[in-house]
Amino acid sequence: MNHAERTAAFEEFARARAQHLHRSAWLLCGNRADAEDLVQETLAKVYVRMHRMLAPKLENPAAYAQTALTRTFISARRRRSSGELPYADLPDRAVGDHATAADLRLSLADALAELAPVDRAVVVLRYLEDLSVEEVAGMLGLSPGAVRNRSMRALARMRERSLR
Amino acid sequence: MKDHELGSLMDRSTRDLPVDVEGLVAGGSARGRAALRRRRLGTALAAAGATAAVTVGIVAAPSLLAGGPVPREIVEAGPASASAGDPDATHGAVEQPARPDRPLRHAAAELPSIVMTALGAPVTSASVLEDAKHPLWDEAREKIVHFRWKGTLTTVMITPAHRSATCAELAAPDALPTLDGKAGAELPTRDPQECRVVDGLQVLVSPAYDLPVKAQGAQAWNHGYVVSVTSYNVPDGKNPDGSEDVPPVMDQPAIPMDRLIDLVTSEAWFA
Repeated sequence: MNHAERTAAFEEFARARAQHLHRSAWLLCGNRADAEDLVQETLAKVYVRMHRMLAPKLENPAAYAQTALTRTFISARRRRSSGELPYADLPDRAVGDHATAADLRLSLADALAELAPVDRAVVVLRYLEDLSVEEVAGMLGLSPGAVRNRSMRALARMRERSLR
Repeated sequence: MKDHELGSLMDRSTRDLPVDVEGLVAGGSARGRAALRRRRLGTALAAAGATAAVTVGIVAAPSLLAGGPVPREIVEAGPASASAGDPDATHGAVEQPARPDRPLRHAAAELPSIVMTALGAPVTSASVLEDAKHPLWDEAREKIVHFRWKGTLTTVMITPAHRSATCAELAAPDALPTLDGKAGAELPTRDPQECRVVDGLQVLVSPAYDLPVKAQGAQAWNHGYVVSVTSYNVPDGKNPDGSEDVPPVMDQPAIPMDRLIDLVTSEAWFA
């Protein structure tokens, strides 16, 4: 496959997958600007992987992209100072018919924001992506037991918050 | 809240999120091209391109010509440089914001004229590239531009710092994890990169390596951005047919390292 064909394959994949990645990214980041940034970083990693000359063919680019997205998010959060808030990001606002979904989104974002980044990633992978404990463990480099514990802890915290 | 309810809630709440698919694809492609170039040329810097600009560099020039960066208060006197991965790599550096704390002054297409003016070269001698291999990236807080000078390629990139690894991490690429379980050590062999403190700023110095294509660069962490300038001794990283045996047009990269450091630590990029 030459460079042009690899680029065409990447663009086809990216167009098909961008919306899905954006949903995960939004839940992880809690705002549109950071989510878009995260998706672009993720797609860049997929681009590099697809264009590497000697690399074997990417068998499951969707799984690769999801792993890249989650790890990029966690790495970025580790580098940031803890508790830092984006200085210029406004929450997505409810508009017209989307008001209910938007309200729901903001409540969910608030609940997720209280979780540690790794716990947030576990919840998104388990419940939005519907991945098994073993798959999540493989993506995040955790043991299955750690994923179960983090998942239970995160759910308990979210339940606690919903009762406030 | 039960497990299946959470999944349903996440699905419903994000199903109608507005998303600019084409913008995401374009952004991912541009960043991917830049990252690929960085890997292939073995620099810790990046890439992308645009059209020539002539006039704004004159406005920006005085701060560069007058001796580079604006003096900063040095928190603590420290060594002029530190080796990769050394905890002292940030010793003496002024603490920087994690995210951009001010706008950038110029459009991407105007950046080459700033470089030319600082080098004392006619601003018209820079020929900005803008094609599929060298896309111009011109957002409020992110600028990437490629241009030719003396027949060689130069890349200027300014990106938000929170998106980059730290200076120490880039100087010790073995410490950076990759998705393939390999470290950044798969970059070509060359002299080690070094994280220095210059005028209170952390600066990553990436010397030229000994391959047919030579590139050297510097990048500085300043005002929540990473400013990087890379200079090559070839017109491009690849030939038009995709082969990588590009004939060099000079022995060394066109811009010397000391000028690269002056450039990346300059305040001329910022409003």
